[in-house]
Amino acid sequence: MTPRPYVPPSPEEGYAWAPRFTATAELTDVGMSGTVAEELERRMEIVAQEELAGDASRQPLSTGELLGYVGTVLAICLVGILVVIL
Amino acid sequence: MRSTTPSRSESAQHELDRESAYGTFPLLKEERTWSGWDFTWVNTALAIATWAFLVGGSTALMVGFQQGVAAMIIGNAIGLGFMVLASVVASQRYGSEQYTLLRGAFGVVGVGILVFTVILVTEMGWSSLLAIMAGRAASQVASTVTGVELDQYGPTVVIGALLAIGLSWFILSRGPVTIGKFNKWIAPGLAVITLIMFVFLVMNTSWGTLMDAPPLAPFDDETLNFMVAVEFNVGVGVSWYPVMGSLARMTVSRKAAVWPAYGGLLLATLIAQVVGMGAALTLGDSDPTLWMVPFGGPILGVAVLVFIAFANITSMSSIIYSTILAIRQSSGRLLARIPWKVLTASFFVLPAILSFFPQFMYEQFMVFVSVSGAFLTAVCGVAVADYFLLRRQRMDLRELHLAQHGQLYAYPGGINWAGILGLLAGATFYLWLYNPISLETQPLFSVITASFPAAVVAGVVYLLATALIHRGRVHRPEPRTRTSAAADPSISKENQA
Repeated sequence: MTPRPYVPPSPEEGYAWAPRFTATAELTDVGMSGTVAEELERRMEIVAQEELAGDASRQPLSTGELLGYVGTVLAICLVGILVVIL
Repeated sequence: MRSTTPSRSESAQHELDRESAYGTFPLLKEERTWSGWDFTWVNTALAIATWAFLVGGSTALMVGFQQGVAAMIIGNAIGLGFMVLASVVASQRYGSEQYTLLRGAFGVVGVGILVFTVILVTEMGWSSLLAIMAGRAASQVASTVTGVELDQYGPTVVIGALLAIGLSWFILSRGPVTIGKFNKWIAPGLAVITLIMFVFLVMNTSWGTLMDAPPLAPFDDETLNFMVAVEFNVGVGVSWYPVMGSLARMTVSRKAAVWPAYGGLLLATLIAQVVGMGAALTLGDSDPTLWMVPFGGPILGVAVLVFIAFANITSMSSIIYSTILAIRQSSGRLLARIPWKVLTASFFVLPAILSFFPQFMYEQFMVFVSVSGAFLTAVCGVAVADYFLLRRQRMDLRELHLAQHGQLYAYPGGINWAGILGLLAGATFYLWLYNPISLETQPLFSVITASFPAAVVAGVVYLLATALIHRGRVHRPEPRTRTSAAADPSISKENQA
């Protein structure tokens, strides 16, 4: 999760916002109970750590994977066109 | 999905279990249990339900068998292609429920509007259709067993549909683990039975009859017929959007999510749709509840119908699970206290009412798919543009959950108007190109169809509107490094690497 310096709200936004020094305090501000906020924070931290550690299941789609996927879609469309022609 | 933190009170644990069931928490590795094959079976069981036969029958209105197969391949390939990118990729990566991830594109209130209009109406419509089809299967079984001829839209269909709804609620109320358990056994059987149905169809008609059969109600323009058939199948592919993300988050890896979602749905859909199309072309009706018993005999025919009716029920459970998660996540604290079983039961009220109008639902099927497809296509376009282009596949889970109380995904009034503009632009462009109610088309439609171009329009308008409305705004979280993790006071020492 992104470490954030305090940024005061702009006059246009008009949000009443005070700095929060714990993440669960931010989540309970949203209306979550302490129990749920703690559990959510724990899980989000684990997800972030897994991403940082390079866990494959937490990484974005690579360019190669995306191109392979799009290429497969196009190839299947070509198969469909061949079915019409043949 | 239980927390491993020890020493919780019973009420705290109950609260955590409830929030887990509602999809509040991103799933952890030990909870993501579906392998590629598990997810393939889930998708196969989803796809092979009598809706696929109806789609095949609708395709047969426009084109003959060979062109129909081609239209199905091309249409589903395109529709599933951008649907999977819009829904599966992000949900699998973060283990997060699909509509929470959409808060960046539409804002927390915007997602709520989307869910309680487009998504809810679409899924209630599909559920009604599945229930009615299960009802027709049940009615046909009753007719065979008793020897009494029953009206294909009569009271026994309604009773069967209501029973199907009750069974779906029973399965659904037990949660997603039950859905997965059923699908592992149902799905391979469904694929085999569908192939058997096709064999019976060809044996009782002939391959030549199938290949030579003319379409049932085509336009005069052959090119237009083919493009309408392709477009209809693109819409079918896109119609999976509301449910796929929330299911994909339970898979173990990216590969286990993307390819089973795309390939599993594509293959299973094609198999079932071809059967429906073949039946419609040769017999005049795609619905196997009408011809399976005459072709297969009373024992085999009834067995197949019972199996298909059950397949409809499991499909209903899967799609409604994802929709209930969406409703729960989009409603904020409004529905927080409502038990899962009550919430799921309330979803079925409208489908139960619609079960009393089976003929109306059948007759309006193609219009329903196309109109809902217009909006879902636009949602997909915005979602792809947001996740891949604007956010560069980087989302901040805490900011998503903070929503209006955060910075990254907070918008005035909770609505990201760039997303709404993109959605409206895409849907309007679709309906201008192809009006499924009046059947008017623009000349351009015969070249490019409507869904994919509408998705592109939606995405482009979203990005342009974002550049104008949110000028100077940060769209992506800072990349996290070990140094920044150490500097973050919200991270305990134990969790710092």
